[in-house]
Amino acid sequence: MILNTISNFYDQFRARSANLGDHERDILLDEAKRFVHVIIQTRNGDKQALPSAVKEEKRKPLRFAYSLIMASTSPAYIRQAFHTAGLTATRDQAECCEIEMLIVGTELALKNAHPIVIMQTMAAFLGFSVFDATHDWLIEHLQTKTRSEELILPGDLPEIILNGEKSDGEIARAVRVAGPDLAAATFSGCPNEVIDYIKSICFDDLGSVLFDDNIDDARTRLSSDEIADAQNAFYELLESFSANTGNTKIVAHEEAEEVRKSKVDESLVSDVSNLILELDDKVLKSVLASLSPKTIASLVQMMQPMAHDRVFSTIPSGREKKVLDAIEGSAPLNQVELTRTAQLFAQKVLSTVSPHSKSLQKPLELPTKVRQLLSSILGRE
Amino acid sequence: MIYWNVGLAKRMACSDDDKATLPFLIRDLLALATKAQQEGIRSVQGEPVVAKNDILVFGFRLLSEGMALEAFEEILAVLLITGDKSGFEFLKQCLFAETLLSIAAGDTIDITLRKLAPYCGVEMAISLLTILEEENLPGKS
Repeated sequence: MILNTISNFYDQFRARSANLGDHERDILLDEAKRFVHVIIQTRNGDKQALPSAVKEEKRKPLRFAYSLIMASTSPAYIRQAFHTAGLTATRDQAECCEIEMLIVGTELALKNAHPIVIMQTMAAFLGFSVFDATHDWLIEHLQTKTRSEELILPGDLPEIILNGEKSDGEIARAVRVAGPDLAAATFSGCPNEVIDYIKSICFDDLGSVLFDDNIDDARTRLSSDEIADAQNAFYELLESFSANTGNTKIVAHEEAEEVRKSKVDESLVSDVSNLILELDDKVLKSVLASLSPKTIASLVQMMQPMAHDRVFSTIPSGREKKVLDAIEGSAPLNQVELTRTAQLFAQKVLSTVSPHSKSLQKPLELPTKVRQLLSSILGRE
Repeated sequence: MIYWNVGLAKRMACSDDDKATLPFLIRDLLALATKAQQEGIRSVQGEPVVAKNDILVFGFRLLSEGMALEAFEEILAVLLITGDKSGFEFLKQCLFAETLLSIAAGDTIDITLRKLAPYCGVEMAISLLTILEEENLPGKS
């Protein structure tokens, strides 16, 4: 209940936006914009954004917030840190608003929340009147990136979404109940046409930016199997609305939990995917030719989408169907089985690039990165 | 269970006459939630009850931004706490926020009713159920 959340915050938040004058509100909104702008720059890879901001910022509380982020302070200690620094000891309403806004913004930044979430939460301390200005500023500063490469996993979901079998209301409700993570994981494996349709029925311009960002993130972070699991979970959720039975929240939670549990060791996924992406075309082709469809199907369980694409573009089309059939018939592997499959793959890579003549005992001519990835995979227990 | 707070209780205190209007407000909010769940968020953004209340306007726009439930709840709580409303107006804003959260969670209309009815208190909750029964509206079961 919202009353419990309000009760939890009530004594902490002494600030009252109604007591702010227009000028004070404008100054604080500018401060929130400066803060979120630095976060956006940092997330875009600008390593100097935070150090420069600490040097140049004139407001002490904002400088302090930047320094806490630079020090990767635990979000749980941010309020205490502001208190210990003496920054909460004020009765001035504008300063109270500033400090509360910065504490919450810093906590969210350290929790890696999306800049839209950080900005909207900070702006909430300034009341409804800044909402339009905040929205416009976010649109201006979060320009749509080039969309990541389309990834299409086999399945019925795109057709179900596009053929009108489900109402827009049902689909939008399923997207809301799934939440941003499960929704992004689901649609990261669908054609752009489906993604655009979902955006048109569920999100406004800002929501579309957030959805695109989450999809990009899912495509780089999740293996094909995880995306397929997410699609199954979403489909079940959508079906549960049509059947109109049970508590949909429980279904969603259970399905999301299942996806979470099925996650494999992310560093293994990353090593295997990077190895596939780094290998020379001929080497990869030769290695894949030496593996059975069943082994390739197991390997696919621990691959990021880009690696998945490279594998399928390397396999001859005549063999692709056998691999897809093997994927269809394969059960999820446990961590030990996944590690063994990855090691088998790494050994095949080594044997493929090794000199065949024993007299040629030269060091392997492998790029450093490939060598590191092979030793990381083979060094696992 | 509600984790009560004295400051909060004082701020939302209102008269019995005000409380007597809550069942009708909840009836309207249930109709709004039903439409939002069946036809989508956009279908309700022009509704009079939405247009008249900043928190509903703002809340539905945040829902269109695809905000996660937890972040959405925190933003609504900040808006309510730091805003200037008190008494019955504050209580109404809490009800609006609860409705928005229930829509965001994809609740069925029965669950939404269970979340809103406690705002009436026990006696008024019975009135609410009677109104829903008589008018054959969603949530009557």
